[in-house]
Amino acid sequence: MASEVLRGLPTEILIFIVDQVEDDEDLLSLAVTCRQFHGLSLTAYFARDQFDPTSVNVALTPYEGSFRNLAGLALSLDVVGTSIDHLSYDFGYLNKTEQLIKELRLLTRYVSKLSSINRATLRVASYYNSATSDEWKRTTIALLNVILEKSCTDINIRTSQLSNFYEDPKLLRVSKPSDWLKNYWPVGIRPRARETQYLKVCRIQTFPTFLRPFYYHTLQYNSAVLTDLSFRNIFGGGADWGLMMQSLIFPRLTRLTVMYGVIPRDPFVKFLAKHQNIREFTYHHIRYDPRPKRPARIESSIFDQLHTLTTTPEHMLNFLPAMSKMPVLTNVVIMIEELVTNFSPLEGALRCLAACTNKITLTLEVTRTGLGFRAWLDIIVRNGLNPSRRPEPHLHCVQTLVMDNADWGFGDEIIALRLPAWLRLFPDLKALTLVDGGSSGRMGRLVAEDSDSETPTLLDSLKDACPGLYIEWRHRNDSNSYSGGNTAEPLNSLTFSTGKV
Amino acid sequence: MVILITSDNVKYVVEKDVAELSVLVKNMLEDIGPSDEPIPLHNVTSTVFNKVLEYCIYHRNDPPPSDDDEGCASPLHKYLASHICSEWDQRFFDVDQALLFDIILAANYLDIKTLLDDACKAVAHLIQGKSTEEIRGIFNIVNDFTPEEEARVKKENVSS
Repeated sequence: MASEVLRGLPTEILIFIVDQVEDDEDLLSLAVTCRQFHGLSLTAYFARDQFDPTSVNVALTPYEGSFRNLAGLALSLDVVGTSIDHLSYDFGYLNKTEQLIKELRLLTRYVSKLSSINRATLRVASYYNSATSDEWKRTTIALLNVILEKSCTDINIRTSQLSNFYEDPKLLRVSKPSDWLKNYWPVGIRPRARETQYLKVCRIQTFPTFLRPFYYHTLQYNSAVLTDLSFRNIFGGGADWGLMMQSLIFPRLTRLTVMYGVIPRDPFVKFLAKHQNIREFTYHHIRYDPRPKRPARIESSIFDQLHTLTTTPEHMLNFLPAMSKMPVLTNVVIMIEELVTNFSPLEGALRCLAACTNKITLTLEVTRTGLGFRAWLDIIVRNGLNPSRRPEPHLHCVQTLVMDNADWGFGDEIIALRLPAWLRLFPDLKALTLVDGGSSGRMGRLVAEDSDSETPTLLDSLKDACPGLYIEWRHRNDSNSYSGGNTAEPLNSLTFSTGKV
Repeated sequence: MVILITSDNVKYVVEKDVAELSVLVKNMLEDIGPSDEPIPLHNVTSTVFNKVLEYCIYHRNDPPPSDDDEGCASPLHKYLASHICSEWDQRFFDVDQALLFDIILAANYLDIKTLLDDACKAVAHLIQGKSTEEIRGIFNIVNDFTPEEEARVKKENVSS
């Protein structure tokens, strides 16, 4: 009797049986026998991990790798033709190349079944042993290609920190990036042919040699539609980066970020000169190689459209044009990363701001390694707080001030004591926002946890000390803290939350 | 004592505590109150009921299954429960597939949770470590994927 006795059972019974299959592999084998078991087995399979394969935000980011979920997704028929908004994949902390390659293959298979992906955030591994390195590179690029084919508009590619230090060859020994495609493109994978262009946002946080031809090709290919471009951690390969940037033009580029890296200055200056529609420019923690002979400032007409600038004092003093040459600038974010108690670059940068033509929102953002406002205020007070020698009285442009004291927070009594006098130096300051966040316990808290508390908080005492100044506070967005805050977006100084007033 | 009549009109006289392992029977007894009326089991034949009864008599003194078996059982406890199947149970479920499935259906109808679980586990055990093709062979499953779907669901060689 060859009748299908098992499938003749009621569905609820089949679900019981499937639930009793313990091993993942067995469940997947069962899922491939026929349609009915495909649905039942995969439902049970994903439910065990509380993973929702039909979500529009598919996050494959566990610490120990995503092999399990990927194995299910790769053979799921339910996902065929579906669209997802955000795909995020993180290789976690796997260090077996074979396993990584397998994951990437499964992910590629899954993605190829989708109809579209709007955004993709990928943290791919970059260490590999030489035996499998070609295979690994090919698999990575195959995956990236498939993602871009799914009309992806926003891609973010990063890796473990500083991983591209150790790689051979260090530079692609061809002087024209278009030749990279001939000489360094992986065997067996074709560069994408010209069709519709989708990619508007491209964030690159890793620049290993094997990805450079891919980047060049992708950026070139989408150059007509790309609006947001971000580079981070360009350590090693700066010459190739400069070569690449020099040969690219993005007519619609409005947001540009270059942070943390060693780059050649001149090719980048040439790149900037060709892109005069930039509205938001983030540029910090950049060193130049080769070292420029003199600190030449860039052409002044480049930033006619610039309204938001995020940078460090050094770049304001040595690289950027005078603030008077930025006619629509309204937001300035200065990153403060003083390791020693020398705040003269910061004070020099503040002097530069006096030339601003508009009223601006000034954000002073202490970075994780910065000393914090307490050290700075200490020095200011120790030097006598003499208005005639301070930059602040000249800053008529600063109407709104945002202060982010990183992990130090604002619970410190010394800050509470010294802040009002310093704030009064600003002649036209109307509003102050204190950004609180990080480990709240480190220096106490900005506001009392419970409202019944009798002790006046910093906020209360500041309000008493600075009548007429609108003061609020907000929490730093904690979602950025993952992997050491690897997001490319600057703190958006325009978003004011409904803080306690 | 409780009198039960199977669908093929075989009469069984069963001790109350054994019969009440079936939630269906237990509820019926509560509904009709004290009575000598036989209880008909429409969906169970005597062949199958013999097996069911054998199971219930053997397991009559087991602690009742807890309702929230997900919540309170420790992982070790669950592991033991699922892996250390008694020899008796193994022999009990060593029957042909048709009977095994009938036992499942009967356990479901009679609402005997432990029997249902154990019988389903026995079915799941049949596919342990088997390839897709082997599973199809075991259960006579007809592959109804289209060639296109077949290519998509094809299982990778995932052994690491």
